[in-house]
Amino acid sequence: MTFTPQVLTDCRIYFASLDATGYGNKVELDPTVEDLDKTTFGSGGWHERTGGLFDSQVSATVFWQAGDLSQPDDVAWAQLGAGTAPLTVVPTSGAVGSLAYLTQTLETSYKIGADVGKLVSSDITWMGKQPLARGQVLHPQGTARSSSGSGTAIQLGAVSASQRLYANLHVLSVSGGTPSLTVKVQSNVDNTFGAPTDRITFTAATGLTSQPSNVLGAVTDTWWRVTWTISGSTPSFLFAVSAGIAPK
Amino acid sequence: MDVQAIQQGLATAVTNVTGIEQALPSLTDAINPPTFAVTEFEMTYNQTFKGSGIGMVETLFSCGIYTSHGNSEAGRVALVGFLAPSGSGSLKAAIETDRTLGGACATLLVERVRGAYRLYTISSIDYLGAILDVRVWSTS
Repeated sequence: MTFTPQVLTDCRIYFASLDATGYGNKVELDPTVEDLDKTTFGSGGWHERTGGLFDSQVSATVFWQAGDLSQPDDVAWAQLGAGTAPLTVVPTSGAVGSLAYLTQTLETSYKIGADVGKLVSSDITWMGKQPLARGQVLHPQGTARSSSGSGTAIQLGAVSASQRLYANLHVLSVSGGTPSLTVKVQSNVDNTFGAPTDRITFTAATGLTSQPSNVLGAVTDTWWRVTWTISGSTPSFLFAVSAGIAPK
Repeated sequence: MDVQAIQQGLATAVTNVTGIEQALPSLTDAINPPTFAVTEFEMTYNQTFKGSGIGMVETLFSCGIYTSHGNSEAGRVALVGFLAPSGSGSLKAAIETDRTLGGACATLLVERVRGAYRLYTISSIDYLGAILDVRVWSTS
C-alpha cells in the first residue's frame, strides 16, 4: 500500500462539553502496558516479558479562553480531579465514520501560563479510567440538529462476551427554549436497521454536558448507529458521539 | 479572515494620533509625512487545529512610520514621539486601544520597533522613519 503521510491540521478534540479543536494545537495519546519481567534461569540468557496492566494518558495544548462550559478554561477547571468526563480524539475531520480514540478520563493536570507578550495557553493532562477504545465517529460535531432523527450506519463489529462497546456523548452547543436531547446507540444485524436494538440510552441533555457510557457484550450485531430525540421550542444542538469496542 | 480589513483597521486606529498626516492601509507611491502605512506581512497558518473554521492564523504586519524628507532633527523628534509606548502621540497605544480592530481580527500586539532613524526610499525619495511589527491573530 502506498504510504500517505498525515499532516495533523484538522484533529478534533472533544472533552466533556468542550470542542477544543479550534483552541488546540497539540495532542498526544499514550496508551501503555506494564512491562512485567518473567525471566527465569531457564530463559536462555534473555529477558522474558509479559504485559501487565494497561494504562492511557492523553495530553493537549490548548489556548486559554473562558466564558461558559463550551470554553477551555471553564471545562478544564471544572473537570480537574472530577474524573467523570469523556474524551474523544479524532485525527481527521470528525466526519461520520472517522477513526476516533475515546475513553473516560481523570484530568490530573491543568497548567496555564505564557511569557509576557505571548498568547495564554494551557497544557492539560488526562489519565484514562477505562480502556482507551479505538473506534469511529457515529455523529459529527458540525451538523446541527433541531428535530429528531437517526444517523448513518457504521460497521463497528460484534462485541464479544469479554468486551464492551464504549460510547461518548459530547453536547457542545445548545439553543432554544427548554431544549432536550436524548441520544441512543442502536445495533442491528445489517445496515438497513430494520429491527434495531437500543444498546445505550444517554440521559436527556438539556444543556452543555457530556456522558460516557458502555454496553457489555456479547452483541452479535455488527452495525451501529445513533438516534436522537429532540424537544423544546426551536431547539438546536451540536453534539458528537463516538464509539469503539475494547476489553471490558 | 480579511487581510485588507486588518490593514484598514490598523490605518484607522492611528488616524487621530497627534501629528499623523496620513494613515494608509498600504504604501502608495507618493506620501505626505508624517505618514503611517502598512508595508508588508508574513502569515503563519495552522496555529490551532482547523475544525470547522480556519484554525488560528498568525500574521505579522510591518507598518512604516515616515516623519520627514531626509534626515532631520524635527523628523527624529517626531519619530520618537510616535514610537513611545504610551501617550496621545503613541502609535502602539492607539493600535492597542481596540485589539480586534473593530472585529477584523481576534487580538493583536504591537510587538516591537525596527530600523528607527533609518532612511527609507519611497519613489526615489528618502524619508526618515521606522518599522513597527504588529502581530495579529485571526480565528475566523
